[in-house]
Amino acid sequence: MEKRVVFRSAWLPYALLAPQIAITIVFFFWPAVQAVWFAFQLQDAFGLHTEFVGLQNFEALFADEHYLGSFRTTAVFSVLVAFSGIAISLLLATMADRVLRGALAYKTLLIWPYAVAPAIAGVLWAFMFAPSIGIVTYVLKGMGVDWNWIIQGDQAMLLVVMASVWKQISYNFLFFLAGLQSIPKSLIEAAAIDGAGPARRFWTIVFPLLSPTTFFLLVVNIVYAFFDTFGVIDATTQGGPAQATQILVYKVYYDGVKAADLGGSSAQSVILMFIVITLTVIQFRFVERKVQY
Amino acid sequence: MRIKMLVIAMSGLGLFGANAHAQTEIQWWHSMGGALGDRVNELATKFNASQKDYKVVATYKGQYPVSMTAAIAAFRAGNAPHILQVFEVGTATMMAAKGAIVPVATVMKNAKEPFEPKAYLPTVAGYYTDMKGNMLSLPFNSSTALFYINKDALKKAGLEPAAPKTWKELVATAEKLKAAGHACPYTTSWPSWVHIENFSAWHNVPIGTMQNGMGGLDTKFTINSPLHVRQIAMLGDMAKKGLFTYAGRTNQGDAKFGSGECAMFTGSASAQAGIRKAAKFEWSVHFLPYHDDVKGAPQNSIIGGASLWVMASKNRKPDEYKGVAKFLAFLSQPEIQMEWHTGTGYVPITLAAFELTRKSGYYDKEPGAELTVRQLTNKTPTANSKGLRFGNFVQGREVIEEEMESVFAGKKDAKTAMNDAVKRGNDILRKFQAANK
Amino acid sequence: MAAVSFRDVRKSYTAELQVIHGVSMEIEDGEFIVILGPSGCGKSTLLRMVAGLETISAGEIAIGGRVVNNLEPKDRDIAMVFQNYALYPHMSVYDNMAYGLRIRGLSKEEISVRVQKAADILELEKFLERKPRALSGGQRQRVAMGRAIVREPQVFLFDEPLSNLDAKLRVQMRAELQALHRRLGTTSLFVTHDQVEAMTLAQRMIVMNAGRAEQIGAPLEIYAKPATTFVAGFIGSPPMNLIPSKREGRDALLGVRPEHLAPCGRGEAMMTVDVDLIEPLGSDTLVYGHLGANGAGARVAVRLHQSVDARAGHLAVRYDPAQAHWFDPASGKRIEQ
Repeated sequence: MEKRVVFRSAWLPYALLAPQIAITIVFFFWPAVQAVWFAFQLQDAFGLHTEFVGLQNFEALFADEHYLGSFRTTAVFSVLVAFSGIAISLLLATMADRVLRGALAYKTLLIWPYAVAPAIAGVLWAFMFAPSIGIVTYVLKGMGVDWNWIIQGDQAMLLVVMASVWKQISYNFLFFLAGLQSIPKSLIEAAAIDGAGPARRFWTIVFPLLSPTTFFLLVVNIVYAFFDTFGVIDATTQGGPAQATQILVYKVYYDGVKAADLGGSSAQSVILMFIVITLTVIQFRFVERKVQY
Repeated sequence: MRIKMLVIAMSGLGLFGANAHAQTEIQWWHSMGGALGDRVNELATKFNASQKDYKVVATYKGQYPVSMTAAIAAFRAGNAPHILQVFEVGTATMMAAKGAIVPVATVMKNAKEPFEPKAYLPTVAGYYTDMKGNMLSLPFNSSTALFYINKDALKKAGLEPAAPKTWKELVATAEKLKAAGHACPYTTSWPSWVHIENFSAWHNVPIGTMQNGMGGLDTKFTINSPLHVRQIAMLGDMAKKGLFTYAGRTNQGDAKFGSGECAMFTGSASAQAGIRKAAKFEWSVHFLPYHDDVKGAPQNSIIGGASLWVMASKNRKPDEYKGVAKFLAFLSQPEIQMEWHTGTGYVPITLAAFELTRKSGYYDKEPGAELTVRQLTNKTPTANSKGLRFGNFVQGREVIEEEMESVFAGKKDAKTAMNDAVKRGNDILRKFQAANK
Repeated sequence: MAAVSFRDVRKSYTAELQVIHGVSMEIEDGEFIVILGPSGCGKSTLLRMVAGLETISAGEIAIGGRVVNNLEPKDRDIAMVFQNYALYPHMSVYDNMAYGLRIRGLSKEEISVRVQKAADILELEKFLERKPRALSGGQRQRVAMGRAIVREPQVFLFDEPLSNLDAKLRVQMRAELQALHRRLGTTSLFVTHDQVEAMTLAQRMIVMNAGRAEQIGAPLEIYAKPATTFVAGFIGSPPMNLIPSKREGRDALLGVRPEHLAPCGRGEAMMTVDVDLIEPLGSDTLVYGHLGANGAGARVAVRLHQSVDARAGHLAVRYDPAQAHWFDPASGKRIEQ
């Protein structure tokens, strides 16, 4: 039987929707429209001179090797964050799925990092890995590794990837665990009787059946890597050294706030918006087809 | 109970009555947190107590870039504060925003407040004065770069606890420290400010054309000169040999010196307060090293820090500007300056304040404090050493620091890096020029 | 095809919780054995112990003469059909059946031959490319069986495979299972709680209760001579009437099946039933009632071949003493006459 809510008055539904729509318009559409508008302007910081320059800001961006470099950096960063985040949390969920005793303790320990704000996570990891005083730096130096992410761009990338992934593992873990527990045990048993060992059972049965969850998490993790990691990067490397960790969203902030280049920053926002829309459409169109429900 | 209520109501009315004669509020947005923030509040309170017509409300608005963004947004909304503390690299941006700011000289003139530009220390005021001699913003917290040494560390390495005077000597000392087992002979804070900007002024070479940008918007960077390349190459070489440990773009070097990790260090004079607290060793502070084979070196160093800008707004009344003028005059008083200078370590902005502090015997107790002023006034400033004024220099400085970092990491040679810095820096200058013509 | 032996098989989950108490049975090669019992009696556990999905705490299970206690399921040469079919939802019917064969490294041709053969037997040829979600319950059940058949194992294990089907389909599948067994002749263990399934499919049954095998034997044997009151009450529908009585001076339970109570005249009556409920089934009529005080008010059911006058409040019945069973009330065990 279908549950339908029937409104007797003509205006009540609209009145109920109005607050949400108002918020969406004020906090999402209006700034977005303004960003698109600014993207076509060249203006000084205070808005005292504005000049319509058409696509000039966009052209300048694509001619700027640092902007193009930021694309590459973002791609590397989001691939690392999404894949390690998913792989590690899948491993943990698979292991947690088998545990009977103390299961609650493990799950709690694995879930709480999600409550930590991104900036705090960044600072936490920055401290542990601080080139002079960090605990992990000390251990690494003892093993003969020269750890100095203030100079070494690759190390800085590693640091922000670790801090970002750490936070996201909890979220992925929860979904994977739920997904695993929704697979009927009899399927695994049937596969075992059919002769599949643990690894084959995982890859031919469990993993395909987890594909809705995996796909969902892929989308979420990539969007997370694109946007929510801003706090981590701002609290640690600020896009450095030498732009090694300057992902697109950070560059938008940097150019808009620190460099007061509102036209360039807005143009970047617009491009970023298109990228994410495209990514999401691709994911839903093509990856979705292979998903088993 | 009823009588109590009545009394409270009456006193409430009384307070209200006292305020009924309107006190004009002056909004002051600043970026001084912590102990410095307390000092800022003290200034405001003192001024408010000294007269009844105006009330300065000091608000901490976050670090410089954030507070500047907030002020810009406020201006666009028609709500700008009266006074805004802006860091020195934002000078060009503020100056170019002709409709958004009112030069200090104009404010003082319109309010008929006594104002004598010559009373201010030239190196300090020069940074914030236009080519015609009009002061645009009031210097507030300025310091310069100094050279610190860890005397105990030098003694331990069998060296005299004396500061090297030239860069050549510094490298030699660093090598001896390293040979004696010291892991970090030298580090620095604010790499661009110390090794490019102050370096240029100290050696009387230009950072950019047109008097370091003060002469016009079509200035170009000149930091790829042989001398500049030599300095950066020297640092890169030191980094490779483990003589120089790079700490980061801001004041991260302060902690490395204060903790004893690094034996020699160049950084802001304002680092002294923190080092005084943290250092468990004997240390001393000195003039910056220089290359003795450069004619004219050492010249004088330039300031870093921030100044106070007066912002315009559509609904401002002349009375508000009068209040601002009175406050700025208050801040320039010798006694107020001396208190600020000795309490924070920033330089006094007037000659009178400097003299007053000297007479009080303060410098006999704290020679480091005098050093700052002496380095700034080492010689009469030339066109190369009055300061600098580059548009979007926040970005510009970061570009320079990025290129320096690639040299320290061994990824680029100094010549290529400085050429790239000039090219990228000039792009930023041209963009600023285009947006502000 | 192989013989299966249970030798005093026990299972405990903890020291206190023993769920299988010493089951012993010798199953011959090719036999169709049904493990019957109510929920929680341990029948599925017993089956899963043969499969290797549960560990054996004590005793031995042997397949084809080989003790399999410590062997992995895949090494025991068995195939299992699950109650919920356990088909791989993301694979086609063909791939579901081919899965185990591919793992064992059979060639593509061999796999194709076997799958086609099974599909023929089970009438699944048209569905080979479909995914399980596009099949009906009965078709899915057949795919599950097909998956077991292609393996050509020594033993088939069935875990309540018909329980999820509707009544009509169940009847149909029972017939197909019998046909299949006749054709393949593989030793089969079939778990169910439905005594009708047991009676129709089994060559021999194990009736289980609370982890114990109460009786092992051919269906009609068990029907004719139940070893305990439990078995007596479990087999037959309606269950055997158990009436408290006395025998040779001691308390005993008299067992008479509803169909062995015949209506009679008052004079010949051995019992008089106060009628509570009459269920006319068409072919038979079931009369439910209870005995009077001297029968301790025991509930009684009578199966009659004729219709009964609903207004009659009492039914006088008699039975042939040869059809009477006696049980010891304390132990529940049969008392031999």
